[in-house]
Amino acid sequence: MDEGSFSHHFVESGPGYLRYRLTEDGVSPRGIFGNGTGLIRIDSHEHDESGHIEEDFDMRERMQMKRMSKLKLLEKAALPPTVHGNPKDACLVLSWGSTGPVLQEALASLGRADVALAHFSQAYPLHSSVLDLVAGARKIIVAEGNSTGQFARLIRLSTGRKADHLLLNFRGHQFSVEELAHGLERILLGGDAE
Amino acid sequence: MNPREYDVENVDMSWCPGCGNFQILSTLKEVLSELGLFPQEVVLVSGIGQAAKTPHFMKGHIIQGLHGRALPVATGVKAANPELTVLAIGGDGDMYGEGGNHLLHAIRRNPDLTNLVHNNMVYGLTKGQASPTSPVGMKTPVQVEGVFSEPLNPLALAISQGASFVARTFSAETELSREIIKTAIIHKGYALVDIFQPCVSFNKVNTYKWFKENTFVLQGGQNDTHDRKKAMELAMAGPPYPLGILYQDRPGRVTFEEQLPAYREKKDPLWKRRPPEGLISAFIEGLR
Repeated sequence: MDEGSFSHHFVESGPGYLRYRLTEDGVSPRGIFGNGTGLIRIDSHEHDESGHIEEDFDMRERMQMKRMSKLKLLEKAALPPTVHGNPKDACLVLSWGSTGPVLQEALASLGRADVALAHFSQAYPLHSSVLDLVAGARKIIVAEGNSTGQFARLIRLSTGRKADHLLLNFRGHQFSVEELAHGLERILLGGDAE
Repeated sequence: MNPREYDVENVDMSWCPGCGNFQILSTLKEVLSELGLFPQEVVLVSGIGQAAKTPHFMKGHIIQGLHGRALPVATGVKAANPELTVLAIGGDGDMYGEGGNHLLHAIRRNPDLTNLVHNNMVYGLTKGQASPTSPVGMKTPVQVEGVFSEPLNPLALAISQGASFVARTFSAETELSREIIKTAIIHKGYALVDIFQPCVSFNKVNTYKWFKENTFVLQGGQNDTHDRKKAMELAMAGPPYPLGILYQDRPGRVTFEEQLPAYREKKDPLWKRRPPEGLISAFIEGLR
């Protein structure tokens, strides 16, 4: 994939054009209706390389592997988290979405150098750098606005690293700065672990 | 052009022998070739169902997408490239059930496309559950005591919403179907063609014989196709149900794509234009 160019994100379709051509990286050249002589056939059902509906077992396996290799590319292209502070051997607080700025303010009020923050503006797929990021942290805290720790589960599923503490708010409103600062302080003082 | 230009070879056919879909498929191939359209100029958009598989059994560009979502996708295709001939194809379940909301708003938007609905009054792909057009009293493996919901009247619905072109035919009336589908494709604006069609495996009520006995072909002069009120009367009539063009707007009505700002200054389809790469790159970089 040529990441730098938008104008070459499609090709002129020639005779024998295959919308789902099997390629090394899983990305097939994209034809556009009206541009070229080849027919462009797009299908939501399982299909062969031409887009024709097809349930052949081997083809099904190849197509599924093709899809999964595109996930690898997406992991590389995903937005990495914004890291504040030095996460190495630190107590790393993870958050996503609108919790981020509130958490940043709460951490500033605590003024601790051994606490770092990683904020995710894209929750899935996780950027490939996240594996090292969480592996290098001494302690992982996930702060998020739901009752089950959904992002903490996703982090564990994707990296194997279980959060040491969860800071959850599911009262129907956003965390307040004070609420987060107080919760973090309690955890850092060695309070109740989850 | 020879309709054989639209044939595809070595295809496993999933329709039952005797299915009305075969007649609709060959009629569609004939019409497109009569109009001198090459498969490269035609986009066949469908959702899910046996009727929605029609695009797989002929040449042309195709998008078979989500259940009930043929119309918004077809509208998008037309908006991205108004030079293409676009058809949205599916059954009564897909278009009137899962796609019911999209139908309402496609009619309002009035894109220049042709909507073929193979109406066999049953969900055939999933083996015989009641569809939005199944008659009251029809027993199925799910509606074991018989259907009790009122069937949807697609023609009356379309006319009441101001559809630009509304017609009904019967798959076995191949001459009539050919004329209607051809007129619908030529018509500029949204065109609904409801096609009565027997499901020989799963609908034992609405059979070939039933459709023959419960329909009649409107003769020339029997209706003024520009009169919405008269069309509504015909849409509400039956049995026997009238077959033919019930309503057609006079030429001149503006379409969805014609009103898009993208075509105000130039008519080129979107793919022919170069995007402002610098602006897009800067925007994406700003997010990193």
